[in-house]
This record gives sequence, structure tokens and C-alpha cells, in this order.
Amino acid sequence: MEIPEKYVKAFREKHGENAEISTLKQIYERSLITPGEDVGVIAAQSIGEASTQLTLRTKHAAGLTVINTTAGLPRLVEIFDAKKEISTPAMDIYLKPEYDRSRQKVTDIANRLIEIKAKDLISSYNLSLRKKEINFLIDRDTLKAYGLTMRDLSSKFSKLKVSVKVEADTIIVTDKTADNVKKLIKLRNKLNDLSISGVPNISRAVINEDREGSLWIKTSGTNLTEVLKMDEVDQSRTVSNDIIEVSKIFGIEAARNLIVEEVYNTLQNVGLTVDLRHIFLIADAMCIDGTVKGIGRYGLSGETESVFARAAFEIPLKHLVEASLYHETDEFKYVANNVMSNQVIPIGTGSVELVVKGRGSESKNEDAGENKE
Amino acid sequence: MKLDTNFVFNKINGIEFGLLSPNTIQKISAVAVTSSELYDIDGFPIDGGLSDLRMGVTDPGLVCKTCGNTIKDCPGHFGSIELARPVFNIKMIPSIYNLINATCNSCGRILVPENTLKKLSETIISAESNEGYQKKTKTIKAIIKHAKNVTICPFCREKQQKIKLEKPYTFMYVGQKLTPVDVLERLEKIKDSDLQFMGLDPDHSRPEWMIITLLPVPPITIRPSITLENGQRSEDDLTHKLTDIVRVNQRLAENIKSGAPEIIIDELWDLLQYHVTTFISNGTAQVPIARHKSGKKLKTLEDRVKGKEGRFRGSVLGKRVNYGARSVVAPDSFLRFDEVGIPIRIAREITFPEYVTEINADRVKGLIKNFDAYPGANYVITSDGIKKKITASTVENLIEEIKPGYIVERHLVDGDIVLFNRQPSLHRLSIMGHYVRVLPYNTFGINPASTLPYNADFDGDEMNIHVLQTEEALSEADMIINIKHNIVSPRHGLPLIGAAQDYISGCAMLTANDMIVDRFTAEFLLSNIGIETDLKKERYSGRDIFSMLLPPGLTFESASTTFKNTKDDSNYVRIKNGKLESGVIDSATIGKENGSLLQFLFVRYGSDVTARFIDQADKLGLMVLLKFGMSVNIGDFDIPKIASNKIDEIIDIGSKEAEALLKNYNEITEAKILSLTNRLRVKIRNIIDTFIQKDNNNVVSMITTGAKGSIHNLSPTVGAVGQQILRDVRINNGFEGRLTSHFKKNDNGLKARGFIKSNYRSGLNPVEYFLHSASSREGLMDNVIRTPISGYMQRRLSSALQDLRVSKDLSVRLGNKVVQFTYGEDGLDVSASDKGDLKI
Repeated sequence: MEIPEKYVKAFREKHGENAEISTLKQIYERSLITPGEDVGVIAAQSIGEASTQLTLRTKHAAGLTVINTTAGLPRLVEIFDAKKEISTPAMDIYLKPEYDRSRQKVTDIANRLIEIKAKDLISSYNLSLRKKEINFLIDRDTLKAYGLTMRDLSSKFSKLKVSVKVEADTIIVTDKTADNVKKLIKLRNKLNDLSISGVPNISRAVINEDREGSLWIKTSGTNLTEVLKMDEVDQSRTVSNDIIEVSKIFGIEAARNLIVEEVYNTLQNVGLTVDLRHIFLIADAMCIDGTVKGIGRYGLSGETESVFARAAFEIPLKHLVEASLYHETDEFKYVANNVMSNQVIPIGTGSVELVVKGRGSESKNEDAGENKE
Repeated sequence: MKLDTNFVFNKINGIEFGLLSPNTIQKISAVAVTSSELYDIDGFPIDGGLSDLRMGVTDPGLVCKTCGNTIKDCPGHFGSIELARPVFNIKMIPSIYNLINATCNSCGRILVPENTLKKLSETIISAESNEGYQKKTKTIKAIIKHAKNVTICPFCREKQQKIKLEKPYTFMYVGQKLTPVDVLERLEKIKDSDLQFMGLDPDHSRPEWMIITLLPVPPITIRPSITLENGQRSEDDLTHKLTDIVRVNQRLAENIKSGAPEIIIDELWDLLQYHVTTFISNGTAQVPIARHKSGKKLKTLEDRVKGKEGRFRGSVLGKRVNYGARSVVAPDSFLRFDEVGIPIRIAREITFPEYVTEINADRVKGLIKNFDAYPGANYVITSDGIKKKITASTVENLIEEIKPGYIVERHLVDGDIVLFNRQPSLHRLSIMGHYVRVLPYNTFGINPASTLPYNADFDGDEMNIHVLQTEEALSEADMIINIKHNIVSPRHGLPLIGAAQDYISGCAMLTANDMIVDRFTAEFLLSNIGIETDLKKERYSGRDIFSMLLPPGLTFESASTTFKNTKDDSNYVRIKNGKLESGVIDSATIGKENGSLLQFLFVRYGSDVTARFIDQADKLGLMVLLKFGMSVNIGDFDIPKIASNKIDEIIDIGSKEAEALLKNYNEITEAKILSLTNRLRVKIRNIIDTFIQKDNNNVVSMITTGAKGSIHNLSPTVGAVGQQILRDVRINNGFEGRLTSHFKKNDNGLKARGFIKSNYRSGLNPVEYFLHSASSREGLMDNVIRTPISGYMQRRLSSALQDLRVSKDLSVRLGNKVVQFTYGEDGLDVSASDKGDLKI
């Protein structure tokens, strides 16, 4: 192994330009990981042992000015499961330098982010089956507060292939095909949930200030696709805490980094130190084939090459049946199957074999020993 | 123990999976089971019954008719039952469903056009060779899914009707039931060349083999009958089930032969299907569960394999051992931390097999002679592998007989290595090698310095030891998992073994700024930690004494806990050339999960130096306290009157502030009050920090040196306990509008919602005590539900990552896949470097 530049530099600084590099080499080689080490299990244990000390309940930071995200053990489980829908999606939106100093501008952007649904604007409604119509009474004040007009609303409504009329504060929606109350109610619910303005999925936005005085926005709910389209947003720094979303939009490397960051921060927040290497390893394993895979039954553990390892983990019969149908062969080069058969596992001292030199003339066959590596 | 020459010392390189064809079953079958009777009147197994001696023997004295061995050596042999009508194998139902729907109803070809098939064949082969079998399965599943929805057969142009599956095992085709015979016919029609597209292999898994025509009968050895005390035989659940199958099968055969009406035959056929289904899996949805007469569920094949106690997780991965012992652990500061105190009773019971050589022959003979005392030996194993117990009558002969090549199972003696373990074994440091110290108690002794990695305490904890039985295992225990090689945790690179509590207090007392000891005291301290030097001076500073533990030439600098707390530069630890020039040795340098000096020594000087240092430093601390004493009294918790007045004042102001907030109650009021109570707590803490008597106060000195406790413990003890929180908010459930009847309705003030003004020293009033208990119970409950969640997470993590290992080029690989090109991006070992960095 080549000694990394930074250590050589530090060594030269301390011991002078002409110092014997072999001392450093010795230090470096002493510090290297031993080949054969079962680093996967060490990583799993480092995280697992630490997680017994994690809090189960999220500590809620008080107030309306903070966005709470899942923390502690539930968050850790969520990350390792690579859940498609996480419990508290959130985004950190950073803005381009020309915007991020003015609180006015940032507030403006934040307000535009929040998704407003029709139901936020409707104060009451009534259904008429005879006329096949629904009358929505719109709250003018709220409408104004969000900077919207009745026309915005009616044009959004008409996209649902119904006829829309505006009469003073009321929007009348008529659906000729609605022949029973159920259909009308279904339509009403659909209209209620219609996104009128803002970015879909974003329910709240809070402005934060960093140490240098730049402002950034934290949102509850994520929608990177839409937010990244906004001109004011700095695409290079804006990120979501939804690993699957990030992997789709920024790619697998970004997702891997996000896993590392989220796991590290989750542990850090409770005051637990786990070396980054262990988190790197888990994140790399989760991202091994270009998509983010969970660690559980439907992820890494369920996909191991060894039939026995899979069967031992969960639902053994399903794996055995599948293996016999597909005529699989379980090669005994993994840990679980060798443990089962009382054989030496190919890890650590089990991954090497001993070469013994014969005595005197018998030692012609010096290289006879088999080396598994 | 007889070293049997019949054993084959071979390695399993792999196991192939496939379906058993009726032909294979016929071949491996030693007997065709035809009788549902088990034994004749004399209690002797009937030929052709389910206990037929050709399937193996479970009774001592009987000889297997197939292999001629007795109970000890007969592995058991399969039998078979020729079913009168074929039945489905319940576990194959989904696959059968896929197959008959993906193939043509009339010609049996796969419903994919010929030209596409050629391409697909290549895709499957390349998927398997390039991306592994996972990818292949996915491709196959996609093909089947596609073929299932094709409506016209590309080969014979026949229109396709979908076959419906009525759970659990009835197939319907155009309103007509497909019997297993019909399905068998369809499956037989599928061409060998089409099978690859459905993942099957014509040599190892022909589709028609999914339907049972010849039922294999498991050997008796896996379903032994047991004889009860009253001489009655009790059969295994599997035998019961098989009896049912044989009986129904017989009736079905007879009815078919005699030409009984269809209805009766169908009914019996269904019954046979039911019995075969519950023989394989008793608990499939919509299949009634087969039960004993007592109502107990029959344990069938699937139950034997499944779950935590099943064959996989219970038997084949979880192993039971001999040469282990378990006992309560007790602290023993006079042991080294890498030792374990073993009761003499245990040392005489569990043994180590020592090979007799010319060199040790005399010693071993002495041990044999001393068989009824300690240290002695229990058994002798001759070179032929015959095990002989040493007793008063055999001892003379055995001493005569003993010669090199014999093995003597001798008692444990001081210096042996054993594995020491405490459950739950959450990380590898939960099992480590310790040196034996045989002691005359009934508990395992352990130095408090090494409790942290095991997470052990002495409130009744029990721990296990395992005595290794081979030289190879012994050398690994000595060189790899010995506790002294595992002082530094691979999790974060900090030492898990080190000083705690009084050890730290002692060392801190000795290395305090003005500590001077006379020669007599110095002699006392040094002789007790095993250091021999000529003391020439009359007086020594404490730091001089401590320096004698340090390796010569050591240069080290670090902030001590005392320095961090006092900001006094004279407390900053500076070691030059093996001499402690300034600074207090305390938690930050030698403490558990903290000690920077220990980590520094471990990486640079190795485990032996560090181990000796830890033992000596700990013992030194102990001896200092022994010599000088250290105690606390209630006066140490006194704070001046001004301080307590100030605290009262703060609480008063806080209460008023809360009242003001409550006047204008809205959804963020609670949050505001919560943050107010947090501020109050901080203020109270600061007052205590400022006003508490610092000099000559051992409570405070324990906090400043990091020996035990913190201001967070002191503040509720002498100040005020503060707000009790339940489910992240102030306690809010109790009576209507109030917590208890001690308050007025709708009083939301601090006190009425769980703010505790009192402190632990003055005592809590009953209401406060009640609310405090509510809050602490939440913590207990939290812990109970957290344990299984994190346990499952760790199981999944381990299962996913267990095969990752570092290769010679420091890349991390999973099989032939590369996970990381260099471990941890720089190849450094966390515990062998400075917490994953190199400090040059």
C-alpha cells in the first residue's frame, strides 16, 4: 500500500525533509487493517451495539419554528430498510448567493414552496344530486393571503373534466356523469385534494440561518424534482433526507453519501461515536449494484448467494423450495453454511492455510500448500 | 471418545438442490410401506409398516435390516408409499400455477414465440454468468409473468383460457376442476427445451415431479418412537401423519379397485391430499390444522425447519457445548484485568486435554496421582482413543500405562486461557480470552476494569466460561481474542478497558498538584503494584510515583478531565521522556471509553505494555485511596443560603412567567413553557456550579476528575429536580382537567403539571414523587420495547454483512463482488490507528 500523501506531508513537516520515511512506513503498516478481517460483522456490531443505547422516541424540539424529523432508533431502522416512504421527509433548500441574504426574498420563496390544496381555501360546500353539482364557498381572505384569485382556482378545477362556473364567492362544479351521491362525494374529495399552488408534497417551510448569515429553507415533505427546477435554488447543495428520492435524482453516489451522513448524524445526535468506516461499509454494501437496497429480507439478507444463509435468516422453506426448483448449488465459501456444517469459516485465520516445509530432502514440494486466497 | 476410523475427513464444497423424481425416490427407498399397522402383537415392527426395520432402528439391541448397523451407527433409510392417486405438493402450488398458465393448454409449449425464445435463452445465460443467479431469477420471473398473459399460443394458435387457483389447492379450468392427474398430464407435456425459460432444469427439476406420485417416507431415525414409563409406545407426530396417509391411501386403492362411485373416490382423494398437505406443512392458510386428540397442533416437516427453534436457527447454527461453566460474577480488584477468578469446584470439573510428551510426562503423572484433589486430572485417553476415568482403583495402572501420545484431561490451572462471555453477546468484545486464576469461592471473579465490554455489573449478573480443547483454538485465544489485545474497541478506537470510579479518584489524588508522599508511603504504594526500585529520596511527589509506571521515553500530551473542568493549565497532562511533568491523571487519560493515554500506549507500545500499565495504574489508585482514604458526607451537598434563595427566586420568576404565557393560551404555549422549564434547569445548574463548595469536597472532586457523576446528577440532588416529561410534553393525563386531586381544575401552572421544586436531598413530596415515578417509568418501558427492535436490526445487519472480508489488497469483497476498493477508503484499522487517523 502506498502511504497517503497527507501523512507523508505531516511526517516531513515534523521530522524534516530528509527524514527516513521507513519510520512512517512502519507506523502506517502497523495501522492497516489485517487481510481476512471480517469487517462486515465488525461494522454490523458497531452499529448494532451502539443502537441498544439509542432513544426510541424522537425528541421533539418545541415550537412552530422547527421541523421535526424522525430520529434515534426508528430513523436508523428506516435508513437501513431503504424504505420507499419515510415517515418524516424533509429537504434542506439552499439558495443562490443573490437570494440567500434577504429575509424578504427568502420568505417569499418559502411561501411559494408550500403546497396549497383546494381544501385550504374552501370554507364550506354543498352537494346537489338533482343538479349534479357541487357548490364550493371560497374563503376570500385566505385566497388573498396566498395571493391567488378565483380564476386560478377555477382553472385548476376545470382540469378534472368537469364544467366549472364562478359566481361571486362560490365555485359551481357540475359533473354530468355523476348519477349517485357516491360519485359526487368522490369528486368532492378529489377536488379538495387538488394542488392549487406551491410544490406538491411540501407542507411546511421554515427559514434557518447559518453561521455566516446566509438563509436556507428547511421543508417538511420533499419534492426534489420540482424544487430543483426553481431558479433561485442552488442545485449543488439542496438535498432531501429521502434516500430513494436522492438516488433517483442525484444518482447512487449521492444516495450512498446521504446514507452515511444520515446514519452518522442520527448516532451523533444521541452522543454515540461510531467510526465512519463502519458506516461507509454498510452504505457501500447497500448501494453495491447501483440501486439502494435495504438490509432485510427483501434486500441484502434475502439476496445472498448461499441458499443456506438465506434459509437461516428468514422463511427457510421458501428458499429451499426455490433452490430446488431452480437447481441452485450452495457453494460452501460463506460463513453461514460453513458454520452449519462445522467447517472452518473463510474469514480471519480461517481464510489462510498453513504451509509446512518437509524435512531435508523431502522438501522438494515446497509450494505444495494450498492457499485459498 | 473413540477416534473412529470410519469418519471421513472431507470438506463439503457445495450442496446441490433439486427435486426428487419418482425414480430417485424408488431408488433410495428401502421399503414400500403398505401397512398402517406399526407393530405386531409382540411389539415387534411389522414388515411394510411405518416402523419397518429396513428404514433404520431406534431401539437399542435391534439391527437395521438395510445396513446391518445398530442404533448408534445406522443413519436411517428412506421408504416410500405408492399413492393410489397423485396429489399436489402444497409448497409447489404457486410454481405449478405459474407453469400451467405460462404454457399452452393444448400443446404444452411455453407461450412465447420461437424467435424470441432464442434471444431469451442468451439473455438468461448471460444474466447468470455476468450478474449472478439473482438476476437470472428476475429475468425468469419476468418471462413467466409475460407468458401468463398471452391469449393465443404462438405454436398451435389455440386460444388460451386462464387457469384459476382456488386456494389452497384446487385448479379451475373453464369452470372445471383440474385434478392432479390432469395437471400431471399438462406438466408432462412441457418440453425439456422450454424449461430453461421457467428456471427449471430437466435433469434436476422436471415439472411433473412437483406432483407427488410416490411419497418418500422419512427414516425412522428422524421420527423415533419413545417408550413411556408405563411401557406404552408413543409415536412421533410425523409417524402419526404417515399412518393417516397410509390408511387413506389403502382405502382409496381398494375403492378404485372395486369400482366405487366417483364421489366416494373423490372424497378419499381429497382426504389424501389433505393428509399429505398437513404432513408437509401444518398451517397453510385455508387448510384446517391437523391436531392431536388433545387438540395440540401436530409438528410436521415445515415446523421442524422454521423459526428460531427450527433446524436452521435452532440446531445447525446454534450449537451446544461441553466444557463450559456459568456462575455469578463478583468484583475482585486484586485480579489482573486479563484474569478471571474460577472457583476451584469448576476448575476440577471442566478440564483441558493435555498431550503427554516426554517433557511433561512426570508432571502429568503427578496430576493423575492427585486425581482426588486439586490440581489433578479426571480422564486419560489412550493413543487408541479409549477414554478411561481415573479412580482410586485405576490410578496405579494408569500411571504405569501412560506414555507419549496419550491425552490427559487435567484440571484448570492458573495461567490457562478460557473464553469469558456475557450475554447478550452484542459485539465481539462480549467474548474474550482470560487467564485462569483458580480461587476458593463459588463465583467468577472479574476485575471491575474489564466490565465495560461485557456490560457486566455485580447485581447478580451471570457469565459463562468456555475451556478450549485444542492447541489451535488455544493459540487463537491467546493471540487474537485475548482481552489484552482488545483493550481498544473497533467501534470508535477508544479503550473500553481502563480505570473507573475509585481507581480514577485515587490516581487523580496522587497526581494532584501539591501531592507529596514520604518514602514509607511510596514504598507501600510501589510494593503493592509490583514495582521494585531503590527509593533514595525521603519525599516524592505523587507524579514521580506515577511516572514509574510509564514506559521509558514516553512523550505524551493531553487535556485531562480536571483541566477541562477547571481550565487550570497545571492540570494539563504533559509527559516527557517517561516522566509526568504536569497534569492530573484522570478519566480523560486512563478512564474507560475515554482514556487517551491508554489508546496512545496501545497503538504504539502494544497490548502487553498497555495491559501492565492499566493494571498498575488501577492498583495504584486503589492503594492511594487505601492509604489516604476518601469519603463523602451529607455536608458535601450543602450550598450556601444565598444560592438556595436564588434558586427559589428563579423558580418563582419562572412560575410567574409561565402564568403570563398561560393567560394567552395557544398551540405553541406548551412548547414555550417546556423551553422555559429547560432554561430554569440550566439556570439552577449554573447556580449550583458557582456556589457549591469546591475545595475539600469529594463529591465535587469526583465530578471534576470524571470518576463518577456530573453536574447533571448534582443539580437535582441539591437544587431542584425540575420538569417531569411524559411523551415529550409536560405530564398531562390524570383526572379531568388536572393531574391529581391536589390541584385545582384547569391549573396549568408549573407545579400543577409536573415541575418538581424539591430536590433529592430534601426529599420530594408525595405528589412530586408520584409524577417523578411516572416519568421514570416511561424510560423503563422505552427500554423494554427498544431492545427487540435494535436486536432485530442487528440480526439483519449481521446477516447482510457477514460474508464481507478484507482481501490481501485491502479491498472489501463479498464473494467475487467488490464492495470497497480500499477498506474504509484508506485501509486503516480503527483500533490499530489513532481512531482511524495517524498522529505522527
